Amino acid sequence: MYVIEIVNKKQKYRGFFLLVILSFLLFILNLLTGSAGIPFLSENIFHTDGARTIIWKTIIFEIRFPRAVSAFLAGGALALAGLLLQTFFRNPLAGPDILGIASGAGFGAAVVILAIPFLGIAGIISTASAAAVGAAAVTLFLVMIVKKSGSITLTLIAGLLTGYFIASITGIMVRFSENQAVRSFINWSAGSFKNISPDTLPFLALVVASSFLVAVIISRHCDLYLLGDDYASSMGLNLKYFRYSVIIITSILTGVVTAFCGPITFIGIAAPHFCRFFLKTDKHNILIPGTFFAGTTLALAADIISSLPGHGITLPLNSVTAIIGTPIVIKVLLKGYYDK
Amino acid sequence: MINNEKILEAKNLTTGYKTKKITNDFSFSINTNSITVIIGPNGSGKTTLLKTISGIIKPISGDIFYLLNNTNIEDMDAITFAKARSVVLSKPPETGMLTVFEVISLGRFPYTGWKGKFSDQDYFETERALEEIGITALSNRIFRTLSDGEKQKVMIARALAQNTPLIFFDEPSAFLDLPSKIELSKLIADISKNKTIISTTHDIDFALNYANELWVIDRDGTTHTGAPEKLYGTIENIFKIMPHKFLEQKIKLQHTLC
Repeated sequence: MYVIEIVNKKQKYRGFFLLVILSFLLFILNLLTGSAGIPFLSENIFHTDGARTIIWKTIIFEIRFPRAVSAFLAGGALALAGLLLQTFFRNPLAGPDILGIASGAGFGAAVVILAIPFLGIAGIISTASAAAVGAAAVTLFLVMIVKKSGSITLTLIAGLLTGYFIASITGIMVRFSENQAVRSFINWSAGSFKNISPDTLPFLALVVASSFLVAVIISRHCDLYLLGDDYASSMGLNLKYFRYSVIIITSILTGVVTAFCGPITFIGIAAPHFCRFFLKTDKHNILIPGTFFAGTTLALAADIISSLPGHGITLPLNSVTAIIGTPIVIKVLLKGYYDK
Repeated sequence: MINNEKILEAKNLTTGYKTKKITNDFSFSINTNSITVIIGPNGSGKTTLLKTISGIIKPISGDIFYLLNNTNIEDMDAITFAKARSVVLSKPPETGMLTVFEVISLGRFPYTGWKGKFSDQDYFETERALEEIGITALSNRIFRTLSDGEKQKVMIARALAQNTPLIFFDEPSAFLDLPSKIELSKLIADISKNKTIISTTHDIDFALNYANELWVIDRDGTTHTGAPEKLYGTIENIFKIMPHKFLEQKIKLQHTLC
């Protein structure tokens, strides 16, 4: 019996380390590639003298590094939010963007961005808080719908529609705003990892790290919650506390990422499935860290692909995440890890 | 075996939902290591009564006392309560890609600390539960790939791993075929040697053969209680079947099958 458990564990850990290594490699690749070509292979850039070295160093450490870090954190955060929502609604198609939670966050962020066009640090933090509140409001609304209808399918549809509804209100708000504010809003709403200023990175890192820690602590509660409300509460899960913790963590994660990087789609729903594909488990103590790294992998890959054309041209990030994410989600729909 | 010691007691219990009262003003006490079976017509509120006694839903009025701790079940926190009673429901849960071993080990949740670290005791209890139900061979299978009968056995093993004096069953064999039903009934009877069992069922056969105490819920919400033999008249009235004829037929059937 112990042997069976250990073999099983080995499989999971192998998948997990694969994801960590993949994510690490993509991080390095992210520093090496970009719209400006730096000749890493032909020249030893750190030992060449002159102005070119200084420019290269600046590009790597002040542009690419913060961008890679923000892709890493945002990707992991969205993936984590997606996984927690999939567990929470017990549905493989849940995700912050699908359920309209990201739209709620976007609305909150838009209110602040359109009201205060020039964002300082205080502006960024208030944007993030407003976004988190927006996300929490939509999540609570969906919880109400689940309770009232008892149907997960109906809740998914309601979430989708709520997303459109809120996005429309945001659109109307933009129509009536000042030019300067609109420009910064449009810039934000395209979604990108490069908009974060290096001094706000520690804040993002702190929020993501503490949410990750809470998620790991409630991982066994997540396993229990999978069995359904009645089973979970009979086995000692305090449903109320559990639900509140999940709603708070997912709202903070979605809110902060949406405020900093704009609405980024598909990573939240695709990363948990990408992770299950490697780990072949639903045991949350490993699925949670695994999904985090699956999210960082997808985000870093999407960021690299978006800068592939070179010569200062970048592809829209959300187009790239959709192109990577769609096949993963459709695979889930067709074959499904949830069927036999 | 002590059979007169009480484990659970209720006073003036009224169950149901805001809009609909189901069972009215019901008082009872339950002996340790006994099987109490709840039967009643469809929609009579068997499941609601069971879920109320097991603390999953709140009663409209009245109190239920867990006598081993001498406390009202409403005053027990989730973990303490989870050490007192476990539950097996009629429908097996969705568990994603969890293995049988992982599902059963979830029964140890109330005993492992916040880190969820498994002690030797936790491994021991989980393995003992697998052995007792005879599903050690399934241990590494993915739970959702099992048959419904196997799934219910796993859920029972998980209840055993939870190591509680009380186990509640809500129509455990409702979705099973006949052979699995019979197997499950025997299994539950086996378990009752050192557990107190309270079960709802559609299966009159199970109720008549295995119950020490029978609760028959009438359409008007009154509950008749007593040993099965004493309730033949009530059962005849409510279900329009004659229990003694039913048992005779069953014995005949067993002879032909053997």
